[in-house]
This record gives sequence, structure tokens and C-alpha cells, in this order.
Amino acid sequence: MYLSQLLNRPVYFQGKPYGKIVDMAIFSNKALSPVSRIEILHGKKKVTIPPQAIRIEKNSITLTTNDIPQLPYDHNDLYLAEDLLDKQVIDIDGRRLVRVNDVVLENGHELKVSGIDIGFDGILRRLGLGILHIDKKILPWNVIEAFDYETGTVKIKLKQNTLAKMHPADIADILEDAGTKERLGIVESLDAKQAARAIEEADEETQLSILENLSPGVLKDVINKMHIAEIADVFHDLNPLRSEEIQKVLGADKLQKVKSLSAFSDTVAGGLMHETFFQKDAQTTVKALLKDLQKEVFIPETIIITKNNTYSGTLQVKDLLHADDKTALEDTISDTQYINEQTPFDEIVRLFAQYNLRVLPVVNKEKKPLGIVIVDEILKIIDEENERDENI
Amino acid sequence: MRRTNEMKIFRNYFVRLLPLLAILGPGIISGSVDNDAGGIATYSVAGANFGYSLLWVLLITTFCLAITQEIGARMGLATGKGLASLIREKFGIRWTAFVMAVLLIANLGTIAAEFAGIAASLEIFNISKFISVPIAAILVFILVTKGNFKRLEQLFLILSAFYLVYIVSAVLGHPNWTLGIKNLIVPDFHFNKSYILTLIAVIGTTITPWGQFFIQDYIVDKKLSKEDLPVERADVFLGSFITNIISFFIIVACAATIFAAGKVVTNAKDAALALQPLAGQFASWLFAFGLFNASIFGAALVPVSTSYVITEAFGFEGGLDFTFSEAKQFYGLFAFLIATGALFVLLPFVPLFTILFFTQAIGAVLLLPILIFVFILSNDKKLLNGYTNGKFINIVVAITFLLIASSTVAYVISLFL
Repeated sequence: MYLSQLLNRPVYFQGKPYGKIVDMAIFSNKALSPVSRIEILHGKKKVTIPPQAIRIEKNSITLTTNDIPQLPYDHNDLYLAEDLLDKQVIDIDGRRLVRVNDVVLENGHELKVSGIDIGFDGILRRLGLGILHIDKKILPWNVIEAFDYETGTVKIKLKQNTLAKMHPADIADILEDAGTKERLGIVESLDAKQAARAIEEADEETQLSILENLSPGVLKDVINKMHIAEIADVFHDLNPLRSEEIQKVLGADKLQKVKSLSAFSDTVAGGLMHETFFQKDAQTTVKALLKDLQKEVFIPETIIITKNNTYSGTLQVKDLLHADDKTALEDTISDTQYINEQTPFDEIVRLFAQYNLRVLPVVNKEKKPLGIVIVDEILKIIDEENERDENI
Repeated sequence: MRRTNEMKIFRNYFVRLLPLLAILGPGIISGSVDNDAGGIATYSVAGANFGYSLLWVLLITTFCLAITQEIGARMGLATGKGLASLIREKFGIRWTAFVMAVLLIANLGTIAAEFAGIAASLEIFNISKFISVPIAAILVFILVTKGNFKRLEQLFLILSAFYLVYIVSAVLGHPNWTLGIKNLIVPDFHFNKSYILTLIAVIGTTITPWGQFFIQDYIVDKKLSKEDLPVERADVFLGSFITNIISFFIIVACAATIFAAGKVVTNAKDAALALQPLAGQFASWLFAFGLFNASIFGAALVPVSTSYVITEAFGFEGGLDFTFSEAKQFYGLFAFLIATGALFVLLPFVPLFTILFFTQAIGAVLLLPILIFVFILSNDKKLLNGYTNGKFINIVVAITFLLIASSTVAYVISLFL
């Protein structure tokens, strides 16, 4: 059964017309949600009743009691016609936004929502052309995240925490396609760290749109979880009206770093580098290093080896598997390439390709390490450039 | 090329703040396409057959165009959604189907006009429409689906500098400036059916159903923020005024030459006479080039934007970023629109200029229901949250509506007199 087949259907009480169904609601937090209330237009008044009070049969809908318990409006409910029908929802499995053409209901001993119709079939049914059947596409209810349109700001309604399990890059794709309010609703429903990762994966226009529109409270949490290098990338493109607010939120310390990074363009190493990296003295033993690494939450791939605080080389953590415990780190060095802040992009690409590197250290004139350039960053830029070339 | 840091700073402080530098924005594109095949033909007819007497309509429609485009830009900025999505979410599937049917008919007319423009321009070189139109249809399909649309868009925009020749030609044609300026400000209404029909066509070729959807989708695609509103506003205003300044000179050029000589326009060769003061015997070649450029651009852009809007409304994948198999409905619709538009032009016994002209008038009438939806949506407080229409804007929308509606009624009455 479909929602569209119930909406606007007359409801009879003791053989006489009582009103018509205008909407129904479900509890927001269950995977296969039973309908919790049905809204009936009785004369000019909306009457909200529990689903047990009516009997839905093939040819007629009847009110089973005249002692109707009036239910109050509950903000936690998701109204199917109001919040779901014709709106966009997130298809978690398909990792995209889809439009709800109809809602699929199951009428067992309880009326339940089992899925949504996103096919052309649903459109035809609602246009009164239900005899035609083409392109039937139903999504099960548990892979859907719906939005709440009740308040001015659109929020994720069904917090099933399925969004959180998605890869940040997939969330980023959805952010790129969503409307402004939905986009902010998604960001606000994620925890700050996930939100930061997803924003970083999105294209530049989307990043700007989010940073310029987030409410100050959320903005603060999210921006503090973002990588400095990513903020620096969009910093100069931010609307001047909003960039002041972002500067305030960042705090003097981070702002200084963002400014120094964004002073370089992303065509030279200085604009691409991350300032956090793992550095060890050449005399440290493998054993001591391993012990230190165990304390880290994120194990780095590459360790920067320095001697008297000047750069001497890098070592791959995977090489430690075969190294003797007592070996000093200077004997495990696998690469000695380095670049400085002004090294141009093309040269960086050449070094990465020629030496099969994952990380390149950036050093100053005294060969003191300042940061690292990661190959992922380079790939991202090349990818964006390809896309831009296709679009120009 | 990667952007250098200096360029980033430049963009930040100048492009966002100085509207003039954002000159190639959506407002300008939308505006230039308004002077498409139907536009050139309609303004030519207006100037050639009625002299300066329709200029006042042009002045009013300039404001109407600027305001309706501004509404589209503002709704796009505030919601991040296209007009089709907003109609679907607010009014449900039935009204959406209705609006899409209206849009489909209006845009099919526009597309037919574009192909008529292609045929008319090549007829000047004695190429039959039965050869030019099928080839153009296939060419447009391949250019859009296999080619690089953004690059084409830029090429066509550069080529649309052609319109400047109308300004030169108008000046060289020694028009009656006093009368022209007077008629621009003081309405000079004639109650006869062909005058009223031309009046409707002038409005319809300037403010179009597809342009209303296009501007909003374009803004949404650029993901601009609410803070960008002043710049976008300037962009659409500037676009509207530039478009209509060109329209003004097309009408004046035709009035100074064809109307002054007491001739009427029935085909492209006649319309080309307006360029004679500038180009002499090459006038018809120059006209053919300009009409061809405008028509090809329109024949590519209007079907793409129509397919995009309709797939958006019904929730299918749509856009040139998708492959054929990912977006079957989008490409299917695109092919259908081109084929139908082209076939319409190939109908025997239908003069090309009749298609070019009548489709614009029909477009104006079909704009009426769309304006109602735009009006309701743009006054929705919950949806736009502080970005609803001001009083002045609502008055201009009402004037636009009444102008088209009353002219249409007047036309129907004039048919019985």
C-alpha cells in the first residue's frame, strides 16, 4: 500500500462521512516505523488520532470508535506528507540524494512505513496514472535519512546514525548536491570531527558555502577540527564579511598559522605542507621509537629523522618490521629527498613520481624541518585541475 | 592553470565587491540568450513594422526582466535549490507536472524558434532548411554531449559581441532620436491586432519561462552564499539592462531603415536591411552570421536547461556530468527536444519568420502561470527566511503579470473587431 492511496481518502463513521486523511506521522527513531498518529480533516478542523482508531480496508476506511483520543502535536514525529513526500532524502546505500515520489506502507496488524518509492512508477501513481507500471524503484526505510522541515532550519530527522558510518568523501558528495539548509542540517547532525573531514573532502564552492553559512557555535567546533592546511586553502576566498567571524573563532594562534600557510599559493610547497609531523633524532634506537609510536593514536607512515635538529632523511614505519631493536634510526633511513617552501608544484610532482614517495619533508635554509607534503594532497590538486580543464 | 595567490586575493577583494568585474556572470549569459533568434526576429519586426512606437514596452520590460531575474537569483542564493525543486516541495507532484507541461510547451516553442533562426540565416546563402536544420540538429546534439559545453558557452558569448553592429548601424542610419526617446517614455498604444501581438511578443522574447528557471539553477550551481547577494543583484541588473540596450538599438536600427522606407519584414533578408547603413551590400551576410550564432547557442542551451529542469522536478539524475547510462531520462529528453524543435521547422508551408515571431508571443502567455508560482514562493517567509520580496518587487511582478494578461485579453478582443 502507498501513502498516496490513503491521502485524501474519506473516512466513515457508522456509515456517514466523517472527514478525510490529510497526513500521518511516525516515531522518528525506529528502523521499520509504525505509524503513530493519523491526521484527519474533520470539517475545517484537523483531528489527530491514533492508528488503532481506524480500520483500513480495501474499499473503505472506517472510524471504529466515537471516543476519539485527541493526540497533541508532537515535535519529534515525522509527518509523512509534510516532511517526506516530494522532499529529498539521503539514500545511505546509494550515497546520494533522492526525491520521495511516494511512501510505501505495510498494513499488517499495525500500519508501518517500510520504504519510499523513488521511481517513475510513484510519479505516475500520484498523477492518477497508476495503471501504468514503469521503472519501479523502492528503497527500504532503514537506508533513509530524512530531514525535518518543521522549523526554519532544516535538520536531519531520523538520527539512525547511519550517516556517521559513511565515508567522509561520500558525505561530501551529498553535501555538494544538497540545498543550503539541508547541507547545514547534515553538517550539524555529524559530530564536529566527522563534519570537518566531510567538508575537507568537498569541492571548494561547497566548503565556502558551508563555512560562510554555519551558525557561529557549530562553526567554532567544526573549524577547530579542520586541518590548518585545508582552512588555508579557502581562507582568501571566504567572503570578507564572514572571514572576520572565522578569524575570531580560530583564535590568534591558529589564525597565524592559517595566514602563514595561505600566504603561499598552492603552487609551491609552502602552501601545500602540513605542519604536524613525527620527528625523531638520528641516535634514537628502533626500540625506543616503537615504544613512542605505541602511544600515538594515529601511527604516522613516515618518520622525519634529524641530527642536531637538521634534517637527515626519512624512514618508512613499515621498514621497522625487519629492523633490529638496537639499530640507531640513522641506519634505517630510506630516503633523503627534501624540498623547501618555494619548491614549485611541478618539481614536487616529479620528486614524488621519481622516488615513489608518500611524503616529502619541507625544510628551511638551515635544513630544519618545517612540515611535510603528503602525496594525497598532490593527487587531489591534480584531480581538481583535470576536472577544471574539462569544465573550461 | 592553477590560481596564484595574488589572483586569489584579487578575486576576494575585487570580484566579490566590484560587480563590474563579475561581468560574465549568469545574469549576462541569461541576458544575452534573451537576444536569441526569436529576440532578433521580434525586435526587427517591432522596429520595422511599428517604428518607435513599441519602445515604451521595452523600457517597462527592462525593469520587469531585472526584477524577475533578481527574484530567481535571490531564491537560488537563499535556498540552494532550483525553481523546479522549490515548486515540487511546496506544491506537490500535480502542480509540478502542470508547470513542467507549461514549461515544456514554451521551451519547445523557443527551441523551434532557434532552429528557425538557423534555417533563416542559412537561407540567405541559399541553403535549404531541409539540409541546414537536420545537420544543425545533429551538430548541436554532438557538440553538447561529446564536446565541451563550458568552452562553447564562452565562444558564443564572445561572438555575441556581434550585437554591437546594431548600435553602429542605428547611429549611421540617422534615426529620429527625438521621437525615439519620446516613445521610450510616453506609451504610444495602437489598438490593432498586429500591434498588440507584437507587443506581447516583445515581452515574451525578453522575459521567458526558461530564463526564470535558468538563472536560479545557475546560481545554485555556483553555490553562492547569501553574502553574495549584492554582487549577484548587480550582475542580473546589469545583464538585463545590457540586453535591453541592445534590443533598443535593434528596434531603432530597423525603425530608421526598414520602417522609414515603408517596407515590412517577412523574412531574414528583409530584417538584414537594418544593417545596411553599416555594412552596405554585406548587410545580409553580417545579419546571417549574427542570427546563426545566436540561434546555435540557443539551440544548445535551451534544450540542456529544459532537460535539466524537468529531471530535477521529477527526481532523476540530470546534467552533462553524467554518462548516458547514468542519466537516460536527461539525454532522452534532450534528444527529444532537439528532434521535435527541428521537425517543427521542417513542416512545409510554415514560414520561418512566423515561427520565430509567434513562439515568442506564446512564451509570454505561458509565463503567466509560472509567474504565479514564482510570486508565491518568493513571498514564502519560512522558505526564504528574511529574503522574501520587498513591496516594490511585488508591485513590479504584479505589473509584469497584468501587462501580459491585459495585452493578451486586448489581443483576443481585437480579433473580433
